[in-house]
Amino acid sequence: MRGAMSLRWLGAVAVLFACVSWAQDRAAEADARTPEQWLQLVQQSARRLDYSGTLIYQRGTETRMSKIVHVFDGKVAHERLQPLDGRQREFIRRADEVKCLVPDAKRVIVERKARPESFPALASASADELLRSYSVKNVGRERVGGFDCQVLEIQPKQNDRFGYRLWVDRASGLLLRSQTLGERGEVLEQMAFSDLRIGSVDREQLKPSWSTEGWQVDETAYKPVDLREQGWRLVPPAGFKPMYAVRRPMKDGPALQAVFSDGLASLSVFIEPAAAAGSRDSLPSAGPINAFARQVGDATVTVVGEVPFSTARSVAQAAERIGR
Amino acid sequence: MSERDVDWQLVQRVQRGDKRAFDLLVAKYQRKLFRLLSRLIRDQAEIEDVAQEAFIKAYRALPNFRGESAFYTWLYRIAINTAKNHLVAQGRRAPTQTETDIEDAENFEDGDALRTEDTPDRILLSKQVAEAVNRAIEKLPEDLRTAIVLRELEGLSYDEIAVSMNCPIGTVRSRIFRAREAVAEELRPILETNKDRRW
Amino acid sequence: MKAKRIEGGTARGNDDLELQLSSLLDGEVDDATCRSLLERLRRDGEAGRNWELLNCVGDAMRSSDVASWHRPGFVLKVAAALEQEPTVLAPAALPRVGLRRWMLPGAGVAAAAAVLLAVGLPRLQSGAPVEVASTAPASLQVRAAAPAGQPEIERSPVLERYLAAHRELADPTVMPFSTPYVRTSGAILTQESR
Repeated sequence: MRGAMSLRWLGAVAVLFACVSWAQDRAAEADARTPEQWLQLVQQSARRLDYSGTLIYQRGTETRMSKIVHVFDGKVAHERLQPLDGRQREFIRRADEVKCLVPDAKRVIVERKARPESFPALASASADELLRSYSVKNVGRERVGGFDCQVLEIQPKQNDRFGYRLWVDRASGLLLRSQTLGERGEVLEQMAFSDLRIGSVDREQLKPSWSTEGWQVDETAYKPVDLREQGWRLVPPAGFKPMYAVRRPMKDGPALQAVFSDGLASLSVFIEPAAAAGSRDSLPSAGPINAFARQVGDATVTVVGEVPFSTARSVAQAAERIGR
Repeated sequence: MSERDVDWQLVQRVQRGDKRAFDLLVAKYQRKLFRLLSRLIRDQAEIEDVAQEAFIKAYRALPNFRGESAFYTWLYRIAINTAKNHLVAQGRRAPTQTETDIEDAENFEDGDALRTEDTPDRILLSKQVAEAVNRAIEKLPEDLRTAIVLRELEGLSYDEIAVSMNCPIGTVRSRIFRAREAVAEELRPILETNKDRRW
Repeated sequence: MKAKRIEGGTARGNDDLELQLSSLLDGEVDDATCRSLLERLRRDGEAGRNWELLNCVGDAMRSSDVASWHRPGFVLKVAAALEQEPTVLAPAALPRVGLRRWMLPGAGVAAAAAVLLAVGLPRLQSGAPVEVASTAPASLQVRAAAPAGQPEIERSPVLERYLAAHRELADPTVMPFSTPYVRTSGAILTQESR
């Protein structure tokens, strides 16, 4: 297993799986898999397979389509995501670096995941970590567009986060459809392939629609920080581990951003000078994404993440200044 | 109107004495029925005979159908029983695929998954059909394409399509027809020669 | 059917008939027309064949496998056998009220577009990919700045910035990498102050 990201899945489960060759027909093993092994397969297949197709994203009455192309060259993943609605843009990815192309402004915005090497204390969310906060169940088989899928349900142990339902192609391990579920089991969002081709992806399809020559390139410069040193104490919900704490530029000035993850959902806490951020008590929610902002002294604490509103609020309310 | 309502209207016509209306149901479901029966019966000629028998049996039993299920669901049960009786009469047993397997497969309408009983000819033909449809649909002007998709894949009625596409019903009727005609022309060379094929 | 006449064309006698047959297929004719059309189909071999083929179109769009089972002439065979049967009659059933699916103007177009792409590529079997002679998906791309009837989704620009920043660092873990990008594709980082 290569790459720091793959350290995420430690434990016997991961080691066992690492020994299995990709060339083997996974359908035969399909019946022997535990739900946790299915999850790991989902993660690996999304990275290691070549595929192309169209994704339909639904949230409330909103439907959006994107075309996606994904190629794994043996070392890193390459991806191109083309939203088909709204303003023109494209996301071109290589490993952890994502370039967002904005043709009407002739800009390339490089969104780069902070290098794991800069964060030696990076918590590795193993399969066990996920199981701390969620229970994963195999709920049966279903056909989706000609594919024989395993259906998994991921239930949070407490109501402070969302549940998920996943449809995984039994043969390839690719996630074909996913739903994020609210407290009453209502579907908050759904992502599904409306058409899909696995394998035989023409690498030409990874090329962006426009030449970016002469375009302005912007890149975020992060600086790892220690929250405590910065004078802050944040308490995420049980099961959420700290991933990054950085100083980074925002539109109106620098901000602290602390990112937490429980292995499935993630949330960011932004701390900015109140003057820059302005004061507001709440931000609109966007389906499964909720946000809450609160003033603490001369700072504004904003929590954003794929968690219920009450969770975002309680995280914001638990933020406190500490002496240096 | 849903597909189920359309079928129910046809059934009622037959129940009121219009035998010819049954032809419409035959034309609509013959392919699905053939494919269903192919899971139980291997020989092509036999499949056709059993299918015909199933349709006739369905016609005779129609007074008992009160629309409590979709017509095809009801027809499907009759077809399975007809096939089983046929095999028993021939001293054969139905293959080991259980009825739930068949039902699972049938419930998913566009299941194109390979099955173990598919012959290379069948696979090739299926692929040719898919390619023909692709070709035809790609060539269609957008208004024709949208109309046929809304009708055949979304199952909208002409009224509903007229609202959705913001055009008169006459235009909807004409667009669907022209689109259908174009696809049918692409399919014709592939499907019309079917009757002479031996698998 | 005669040769393709997508670009309008001369009106012939047959055109009318075939237009009606297409409507018959969709259940969009009245009882009297239905009866006379069916009568015609039984008598006119060519019209019957053409109409059978029209029936295949829907099946072929939904499943090439199902469509491949088409047997020309089967309907007429069954119709002939039906002639020998006594006419069935059933007591008048209670009228059913069908649920109407009413779509907002324009919404249908987007839905058709969403479904259309599924039609554009043959469904893939688990296993080797199918070599298809058709052009790459780009040719079927239904592209619009914003489809008619679907306005640009109202968003909070403030939230957008946080979403983009969150997306930049949040690890989707089990979900594919693209998930946050699909979810928040409208949001981009704006860094006016550098």
